Amino acid sequence: MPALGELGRDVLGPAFCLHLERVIDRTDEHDLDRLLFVAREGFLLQRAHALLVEQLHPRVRPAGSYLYLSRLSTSLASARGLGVRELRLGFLKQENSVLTVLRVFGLYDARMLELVYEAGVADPARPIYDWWRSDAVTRLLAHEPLQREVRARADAARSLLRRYLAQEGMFTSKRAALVDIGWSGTIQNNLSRAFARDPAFPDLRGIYLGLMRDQWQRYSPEVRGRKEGVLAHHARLGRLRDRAPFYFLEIFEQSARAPHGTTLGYEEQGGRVVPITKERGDDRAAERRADGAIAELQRGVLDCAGAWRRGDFDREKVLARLERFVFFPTRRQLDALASLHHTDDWGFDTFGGLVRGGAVLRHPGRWLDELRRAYWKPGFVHASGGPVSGRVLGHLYHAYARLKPRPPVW
Amino acid sequence: MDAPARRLVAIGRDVLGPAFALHAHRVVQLADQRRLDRLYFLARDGWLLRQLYRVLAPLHRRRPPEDAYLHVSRRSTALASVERFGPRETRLGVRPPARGTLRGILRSFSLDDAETLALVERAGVVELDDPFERASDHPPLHVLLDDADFQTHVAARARAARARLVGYLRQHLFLDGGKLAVVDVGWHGTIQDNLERAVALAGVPGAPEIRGLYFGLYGEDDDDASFERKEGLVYDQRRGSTVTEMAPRHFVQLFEEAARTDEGMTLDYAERGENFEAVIKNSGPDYEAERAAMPAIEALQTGIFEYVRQYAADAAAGRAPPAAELRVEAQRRIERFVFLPTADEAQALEPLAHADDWAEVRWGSVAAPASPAALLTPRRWIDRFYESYWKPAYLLRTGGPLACRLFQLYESAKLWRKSRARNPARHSERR
Repeated sequence: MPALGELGRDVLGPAFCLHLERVIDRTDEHDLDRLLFVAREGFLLQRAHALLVEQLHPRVRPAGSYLYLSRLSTSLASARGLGVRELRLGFLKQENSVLTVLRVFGLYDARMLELVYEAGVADPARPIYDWWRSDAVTRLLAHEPLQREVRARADAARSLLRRYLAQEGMFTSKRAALVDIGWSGTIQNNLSRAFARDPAFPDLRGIYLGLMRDQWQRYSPEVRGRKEGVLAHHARLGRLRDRAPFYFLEIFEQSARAPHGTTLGYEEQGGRVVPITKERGDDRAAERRADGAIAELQRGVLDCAGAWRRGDFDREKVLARLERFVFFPTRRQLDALASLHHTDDWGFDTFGGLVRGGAVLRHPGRWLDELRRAYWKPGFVHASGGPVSGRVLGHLYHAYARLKPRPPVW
Repeated sequence: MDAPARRLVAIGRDVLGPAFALHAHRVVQLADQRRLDRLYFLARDGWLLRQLYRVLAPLHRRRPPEDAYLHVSRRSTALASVERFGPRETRLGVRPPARGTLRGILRSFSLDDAETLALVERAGVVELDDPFERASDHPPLHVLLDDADFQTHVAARARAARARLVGYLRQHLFLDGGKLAVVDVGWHGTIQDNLERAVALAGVPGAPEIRGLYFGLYGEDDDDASFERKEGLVYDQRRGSTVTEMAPRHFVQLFEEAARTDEGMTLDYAERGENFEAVIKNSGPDYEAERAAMPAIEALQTGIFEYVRQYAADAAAGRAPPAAELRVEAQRRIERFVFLPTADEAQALEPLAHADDWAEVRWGSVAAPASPAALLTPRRWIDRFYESYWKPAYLLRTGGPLACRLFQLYESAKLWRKSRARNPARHSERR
């Protein structure tokens, strides 16, 4: 079997299946009447879930939907203006300018730019390194015409998103759960915030493969206590094994994603609301080049799901396999994963290879910079050396990671 | 006069005198050059600055501008300057090295009353006293800033505060147009910013353009647009980030204390009949501590007056050094005093108590007693070092003169590194 198929079946498959086994259990416990598999990772999760349902014979089998949602397609609907929350989210992006904020909320167009200039921001493309001290931020917050425009657009976005979700059965549900890879659960935050005052909005839970710490959650009563990280959870990080998935988030996202592009928004076509997906651009072309590899990974995961028996794997066993793969990949696995790229669901065109190496001895400073930026740091370390030196570097990085109480993505 | 008082007079005359003389003389020169119509000396540090200016007023080469003393403080102008409570306001409400708290921010804007606090609670925010390092990462603060009811309430309060402030300013002819300048010790010109914002938000027709003439001027950002209307007459960050130019930042309380009068800080304004009067703080332990320090301040001011009167006589006779030369000498003396004080000098300043003009419940001696025994508890030593208003004096008392010298070198290196990072081209040219 090719390396990617083996990786899917033996390492990632058990992780996804354990996650979905919990989804099945929670469906019963919480009496869920609808499972919402979120694009794009929901593509594989929904298929694997169907196989697991056949294997595990659960008592409750609620309807399932595949929803075209992304952080970008739900962000504007969740806004009530361009407030401090929106600016914080916008400035989290690496480019850090007023334009970034506009793009994160799908507000990057001529009219909005005009309002930004009118607010007194002369150069919206200028990088802002400390947004809290930025004069531009103060001006945007205080400019009522801009705020009014954002509120109007947010209302329109909310209305369109509501129609789409209603079409997919979300508003006929009483108790639903989003099923996704997770990490922050931003889409759940956005939906809950957008429809917090809508009486038809279901009691919405999120059952994720992994969940990072979110200090802002305490202030979202709509989502507080309604998220669960099955395999990796911010409250259980004592051992490196528990932290291992956070060292390679992208492998879960890439291996589970659908062949279509990320959801940019929605439009009305013949009385129905349909999603608009990103199908152009260099980032999308890079994704397409990886479609074959991803299909191979997914075949392996589905093989695992088809043969899944309750009790074959527990969390400990799954994490042990993941830790071994994340920190000590074989050369065959590194080579096989070379075609995978990270892309962004905020609608940015940036992308980068998951497996890259650097010249540690020739340019140590540059190597450290690249390591800091690498999506898969242990993989980068291994790929930076030959068969032996890569292994040595990998052991050094593993020792360092054991001492570090928090994973790199936090 | 006893020995400690004599030491304070000597510090006033020999250390502070040249710098204050330079400031007063530059105010005279700039008022002539810019043809200013009115000078407003801002409470409370403006009291001494105004007296010194009057000593040098005969040096005017044209009709002197009118001068007045204005009861304003950062606290009394803060709420009036608010359009929408946002990051700017929280920055003003957090004063490092102390960590910020929500209650501290609200208090800085006179918003710590029961009605406002009830709204804060209704917004779901209860962590009023939780300290934070970075406001941009403090969730309760963001939740509050995005709360529409809180913003509506603050906007109404700000409008009322603006009406009172504008009433007071109008009464003092501040809004009568023409060219005017505010004169203060410094350091960021926050009161000037607040006044400009409040007047603009109130939509006062024909409002004057305000210029700021400061003893020292320091900004957080290099491109602070308001700096175009401000000048540091003795110290100005734009002249260069050297340890000499930055020395007062390591002991700002010395200059504020040396220049202040015995009245309390301005809290607000009250309408009485057809007049608006300043509400002055006249009770509380911080006020009492400040009152107790007045004899020491008067001794310092005696020394400053001695120097400035002599300087005025020399200048009138054409014997005074040019401003550039006097600045070098004044800065040299202050740098030595701030970074390398003697034990006698540190002891002499012990009676000075500082309370800031945000009417905080925090005050203390500018040179608190300490001994080398403090080194036995390193964590406590570090905490007290950061809390000290005058760090080199603390170092002198716990680690000796060598510690002061090392601190000066460290600060020097830090500024050099920062300057190189900001302007690498200039540094490579120098090489």
